[in-house]
Amino acid sequence: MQNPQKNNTSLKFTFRVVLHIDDRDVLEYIQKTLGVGTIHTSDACVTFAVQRFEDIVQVIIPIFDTFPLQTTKVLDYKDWRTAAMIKFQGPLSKDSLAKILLLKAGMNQNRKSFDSYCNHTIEINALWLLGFVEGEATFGIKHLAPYFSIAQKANSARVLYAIEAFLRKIPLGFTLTKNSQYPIGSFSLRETTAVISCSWSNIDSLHDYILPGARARGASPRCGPRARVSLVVYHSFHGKK
Amino acid sequence: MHKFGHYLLPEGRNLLIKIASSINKFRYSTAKGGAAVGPTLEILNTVLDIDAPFNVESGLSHTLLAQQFSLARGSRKGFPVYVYVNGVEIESSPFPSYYAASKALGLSNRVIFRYIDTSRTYKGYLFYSAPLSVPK
Repeated sequence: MQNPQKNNTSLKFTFRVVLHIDDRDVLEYIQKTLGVGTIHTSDACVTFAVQRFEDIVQVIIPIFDTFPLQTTKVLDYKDWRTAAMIKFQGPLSKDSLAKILLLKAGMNQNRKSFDSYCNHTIEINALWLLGFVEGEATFGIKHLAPYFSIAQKANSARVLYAIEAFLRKIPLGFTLTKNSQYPIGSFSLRETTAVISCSWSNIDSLHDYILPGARARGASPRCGPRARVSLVVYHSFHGKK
Repeated sequence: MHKFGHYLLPEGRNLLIKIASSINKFRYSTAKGGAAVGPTLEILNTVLDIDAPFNVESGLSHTLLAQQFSLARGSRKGFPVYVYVNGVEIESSPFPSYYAASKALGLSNRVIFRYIDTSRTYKGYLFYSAPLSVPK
């Protein structure tokens, strides 16, 4: 980012979704549905980006205000939104610019404090979970046994606990097995990367609860064996001459 | 395949290996060697059309059904394990059971279960339930 104070540049806000190149259709669908943004490809990635400030204020922000994020990404969104609102209010004073720069300095990878996340109310519903699974979960086979898992940075562990609790309550979809084990997740923390994962591998749970649940919610075939789509949403803003 | 027990049949096991090596990172067009091609629907149906080893209608859990199947196959006696290194059967092979093989080779019992009949090596060993000359 160029320092706006130093070279008299303006602030530019960006909302980006980056996916593997094979999933370009998904981003084209999003672009068509929202009617904003651009798509460009670079190596193995394809990026949907919204940079026009009016589009950010009128299209992107209302979406995330209506459908709140659930992981610690919500903190970045709130700061990003605050900065956008400061800019929206009119020409930037020195003070307001300083406020925005301060917000930016503590966002995304620079974030040190996650304290306020404790106050964030996590609400899991089936459609939110389906979207989350598309981006963050894996349907895999390990040692020739199927499993389903979701991994997050440890500071978003609360959302994994909430998902685990949500899945315990999903309805039974296959009733032949008596007293089929409802889905109980198994948590593990990888200390070197600070990543926590929750896995489900009980065959009866997967077959009798999770599989029918995913089908009922309209999981696409890609969501089945190919859910390892890396959906990464970045909020950033940077200087522009 | 796990719910109905097909994974315990040689055909199911082979299909499972094919699926495992064609999903997730193997499916991407940018994967090393190009996107893996998974088994066709026809192949899937051929395996799933085989009589299911488990009687799911019994209402028993997967664990119990797997135990029953294993006992019915004679797990109390143990299953023979043929061990090969570089395509050559090792001296003590065949072993009378997974346990005997794992103990002799200093491996975990689970390793034999995971790798047997998969044509994948573990520490240079290949494990089969029948001599290599017998088609799998």
